[in-house]
Amino acid sequence: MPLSTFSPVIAELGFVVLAACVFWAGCKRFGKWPTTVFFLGSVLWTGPLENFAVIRGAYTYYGYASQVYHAYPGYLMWLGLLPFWIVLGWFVFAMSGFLIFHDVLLTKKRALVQAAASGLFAVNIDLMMDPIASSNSLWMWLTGSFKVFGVPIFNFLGWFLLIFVYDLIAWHTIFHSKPMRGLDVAERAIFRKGTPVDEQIHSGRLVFRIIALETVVIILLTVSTQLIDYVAYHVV
Amino acid sequence: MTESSEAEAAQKSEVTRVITGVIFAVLLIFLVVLSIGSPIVTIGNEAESMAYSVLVFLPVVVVCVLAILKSARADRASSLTQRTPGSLVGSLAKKTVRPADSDQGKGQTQPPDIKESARAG
Repeated sequence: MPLSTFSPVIAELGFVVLAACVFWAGCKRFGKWPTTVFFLGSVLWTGPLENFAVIRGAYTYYGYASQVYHAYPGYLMWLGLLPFWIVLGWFVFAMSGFLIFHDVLLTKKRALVQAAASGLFAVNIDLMMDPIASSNSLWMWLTGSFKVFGVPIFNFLGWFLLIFVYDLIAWHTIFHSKPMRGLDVAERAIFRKGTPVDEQIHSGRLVFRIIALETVVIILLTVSTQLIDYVAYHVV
Repeated sequence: MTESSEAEAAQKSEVTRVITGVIFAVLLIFLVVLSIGSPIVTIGNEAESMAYSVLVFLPVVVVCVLAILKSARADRASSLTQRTPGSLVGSLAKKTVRPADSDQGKGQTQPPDIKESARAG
């Protein structure tokens, strides 16, 4: 299929506008500082994870490279090997899910349930988005993993984990100051002094939680991809 | 129900409309704008891709519509509660025991402006 040079422009500009709208909504609901921290946290959360996947050769974002002129990489703004609109997209879905499920639809449920709903909602959006985006070469799947509609199954698990875990991090660290199960022992050892007041966002703790859980998610995805592929190719 | 909770419900409703608008814009960009040139047909034959689109499209729409309805209902309920007779009596009572009146040695309570109280909620 011939590539339309308008597709990357629409995607890039579209997500800049949408991220601005979501940022505005977040500021209105939670205030400027928590929304800014949520945004910066989502950049730190998704940037390394996505770059790691690109380096591993799972996919590439250079489908439109050299389309306009020889040295043009395909998109205007980049974060390593990742177009910046992808990071903005993660922020849009993470904040939207957070607002819809924590603030409106599941207000009386546990944070875990709210985060799971947000994760499933994001997977649902990706089920619609990914086949279109990959067939338009906005990103291209290079992996030999088992695919459904041209999209590897581990991708959907990745979407769920990214939104689910970041939702929990944000709820426990940015919007509340609560311990996270599994990390509290390490945190007690690292952050002995200066325990935060309830109203403050402890940036050191946020960065620690993001990096620690990022590592866990990367390991989990690497292992589960092998497992999914083994089951898909050998058992089914 | 206080004025601040009414304002919060209104704010929540407005924010929900913006957020769901953003989600619909994402669907619009991908399902309509980027689908020109029929890339979605690469999913399978035309009927399969249509069924797939509807299947994945529906839950997102349902969640967004539910969120809009729930936040709008909360907003409406909160504005109605603000205007019930009970809350009117409460606001009148507040006005009659205004400490500033007794501090200034006026001794008498001011006759409250009912219309004003009702408007203020």
